[in-house]
Amino acid sequence: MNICLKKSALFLVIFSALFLGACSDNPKKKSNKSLFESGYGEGDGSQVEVIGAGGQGNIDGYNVGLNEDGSIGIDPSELGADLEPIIYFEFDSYIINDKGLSIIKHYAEILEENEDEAIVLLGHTDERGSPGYNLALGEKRAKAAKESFMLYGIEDKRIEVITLGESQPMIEGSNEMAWSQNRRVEIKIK
Amino acid sequence: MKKNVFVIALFLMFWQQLSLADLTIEISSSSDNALPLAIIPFDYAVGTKQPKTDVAKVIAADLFSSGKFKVLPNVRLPSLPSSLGDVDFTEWRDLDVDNMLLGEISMSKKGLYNIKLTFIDLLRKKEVISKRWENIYENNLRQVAHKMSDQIYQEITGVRGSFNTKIAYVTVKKVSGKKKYSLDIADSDGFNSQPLLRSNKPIMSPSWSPDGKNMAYVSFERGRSEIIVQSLNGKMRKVVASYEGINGSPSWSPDSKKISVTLSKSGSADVYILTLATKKLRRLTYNFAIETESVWAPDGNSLFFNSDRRGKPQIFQVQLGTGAIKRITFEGAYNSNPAISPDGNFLAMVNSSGHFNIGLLDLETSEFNIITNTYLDESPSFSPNGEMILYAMNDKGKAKLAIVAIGNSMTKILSTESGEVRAPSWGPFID
Amino acid sequence: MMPFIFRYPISSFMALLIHVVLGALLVMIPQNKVEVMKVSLVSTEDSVEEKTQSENKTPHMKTFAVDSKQIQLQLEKIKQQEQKKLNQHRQLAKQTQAEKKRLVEIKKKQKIEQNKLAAEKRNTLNLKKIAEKAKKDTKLAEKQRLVAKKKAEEAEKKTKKLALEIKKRDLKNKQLATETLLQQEMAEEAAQERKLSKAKDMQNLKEVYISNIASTVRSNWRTVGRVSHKAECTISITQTPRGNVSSVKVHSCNRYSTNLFKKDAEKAVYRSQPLPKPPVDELFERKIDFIFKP
Repeated sequence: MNICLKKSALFLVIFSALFLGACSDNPKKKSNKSLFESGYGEGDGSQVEVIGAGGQGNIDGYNVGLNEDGSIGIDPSELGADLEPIIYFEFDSYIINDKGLSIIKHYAEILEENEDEAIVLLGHTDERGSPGYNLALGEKRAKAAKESFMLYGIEDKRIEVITLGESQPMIEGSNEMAWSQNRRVEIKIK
Repeated sequence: MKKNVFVIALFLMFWQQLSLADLTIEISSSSDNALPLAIIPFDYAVGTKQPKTDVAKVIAADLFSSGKFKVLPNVRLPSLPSSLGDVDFTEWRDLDVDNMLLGEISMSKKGLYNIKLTFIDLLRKKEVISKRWENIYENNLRQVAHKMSDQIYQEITGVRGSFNTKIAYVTVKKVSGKKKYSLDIADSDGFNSQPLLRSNKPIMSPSWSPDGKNMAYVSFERGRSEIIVQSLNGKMRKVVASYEGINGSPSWSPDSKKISVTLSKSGSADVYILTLATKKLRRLTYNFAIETESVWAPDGNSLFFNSDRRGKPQIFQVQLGTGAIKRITFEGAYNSNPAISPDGNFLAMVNSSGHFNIGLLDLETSEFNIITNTYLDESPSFSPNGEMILYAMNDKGKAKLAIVAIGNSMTKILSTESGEVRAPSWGPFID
Repeated sequence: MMPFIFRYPISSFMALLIHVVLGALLVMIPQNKVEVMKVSLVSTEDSVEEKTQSENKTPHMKTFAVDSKQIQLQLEKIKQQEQKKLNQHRQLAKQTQAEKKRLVEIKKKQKIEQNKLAAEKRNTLNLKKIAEKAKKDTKLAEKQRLVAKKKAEEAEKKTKKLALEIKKRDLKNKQLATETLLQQEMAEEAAQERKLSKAKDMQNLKEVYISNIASTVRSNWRTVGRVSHKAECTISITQTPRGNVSSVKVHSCNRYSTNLFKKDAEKAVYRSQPLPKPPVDELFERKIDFIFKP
């Protein structure tokens, strides 16, 4: 029960911040099946359909079910919006600025209190430059964030790093406004 | 299992309506230095059912898009000869027309099409190409047209045409707010598009095997990057790299037996070679910086890749024999995503000194030129004859493909009505 | 005697005048002087005879001894005068002789002068003729060139080429025209100043003619393939008098010349039809060879 509460607390901190940042719609009832959203998916699972180029007949689908959608109900106003779990970067850079460090410090402290929790750091880039390079750059950013977490005492094994490159922008658009929002590392609970 | 089948059926239903659109083509600029060409409207034998494909039009579009030909509009044709004997050479000389294409289409006994095409050199006054195709299905008329375009291209430029080839690319569409990804292949002119894979998660970096049988690509279908090799007929599909960290940028060896990949399992992104039959890995780069986007030299003896070991990404070359690494690009602050021409003489890359365009480096003379003038250009891929480059770009916030002819400014833009297109890869010659 | 008088009228007149004066002196002076006169009468030409007569009359001499002495003196005086006159006469004769010689020489000189003049006249005439001929030749060439140019221009109009191409070609034609003009001027100067032979002129014109053809072919060069700028071949053309090409051979190529280059060079020749005409008809060649470099 205690653990459960702690988990909830961490979860609430991160997700309410996210909602604030994204100006989300009405919060819904949280599913108790999964406390944590699979942050890097849209939460709707994933399917692929393989089709032969000949067009005749489909090969069996290659399906990998991921978590179901899990939303939570909480009043976002209870939490500070300036501590949304996102670290932003300059173009083609993976240097974490002071603002980013204070965000990492904040979540590192929460993790300290929730010893059973692990996080995923999702590295993203803007759309400019080549996709392959951006995939690596996204990882560099996430790894830089991971190192900072480790400096604040979080163990290596509690932090997973995933890069998504330029494939999942936060904001659509080809302008500096959008790009500055898309060059980011998102902190998600595993 | 039942549920799975149902899901696929559902997917098919809404994707069916999404993917009916071929890529639409738009020519953004033209070339002054083009050879005038007359294409006489084809002669349809009595009783021939008018096919949906206008073979003459397909050939005209192919040749025009190369930037090397300009086709005389039909209204300006002074006469409509049906054979070499009918041609009044002086009237064509007066119009400065050097070449002429004649065609005859008739029905075969089987109800299929017979096509005879003749290409005439009006200066030397002789037939230089004469071809017959028999019992052709209506659906294959475009292919016949592309084959003829290839022959004409070779006659005039001395280089084999690459119109009768395929391209692969990824389309992204939004369906009720969710992004849907599809790996498609199409004819080089964007027609006859067919999906190879559809996914809710991003698909990246498709790469044709040089033998034309398989496609390697990056899929995020399990939440993180993995490299998958899939046969074009869809009968084989394998995850070949799913290491911790990045699994990206697959590129085929010239013999189609290995792929070079980017893995970050040992810390930072480095280039490895994966032998497909044995799954054996060979690490090529050892550097804490980013090393990625490798591509094989046509002789198979070296690879080009990009690295930010000097702070910003630049292209380097690593020799497989000695492991020696040499820096290749020096123009501009940012050079990534190398592509090597089939003859090994030219390197294309994403180049930036503020704007992102495709640069072309002559590896023999070190002459460097920016060859595109579109916006946020990336993912260059050479046509198999080395005469054109297919790449991705951004047009007013929308991702599209473009084909630029090297040596002239002719650019053709390929786009989908309903979504975005990116990550193109030009397939090999189809023999 | 008479021709002599006619020949030397001044000398004859002088001689007569002297005789008349001497006769007058004999009549007018005193007696003694008359004898002198007598003697003097037979003098000059028959003086020897006179002498013998006087020898024969020696007794008389005695009688007139004093007188004879005087006479002797007179005679000597006369003799001296006579001698003087003779000398004068001789001098005169000498002078006339020199005068005669001088005249002959003058005449000779005049004749040479005349010949010279005639020769010079002939020379200047020749020069004029040569210059006119040269001018005529170049004019003819110019005219033919203009006609050819006009024709080419008309053909161009007809072909409605792209403005750029027309510009390019015009520029080349202009260059060609100035080149030709320059060469013609040079030829003209050469004809006037260095009296160049016609053969040499023709040779120059022939070079102009072939370079005309070569540059027309060059201006019709067109390729969309990759061709080395170092490619070089010899083109051999067989043409009809109207400038139509009956055959083209592209040969003796260097190693940069691809098959495409050879094919496109051949097409450039066909595109250049009709080939430029020669400046003068006799320069027409059925077979033309030149080195082609795009």
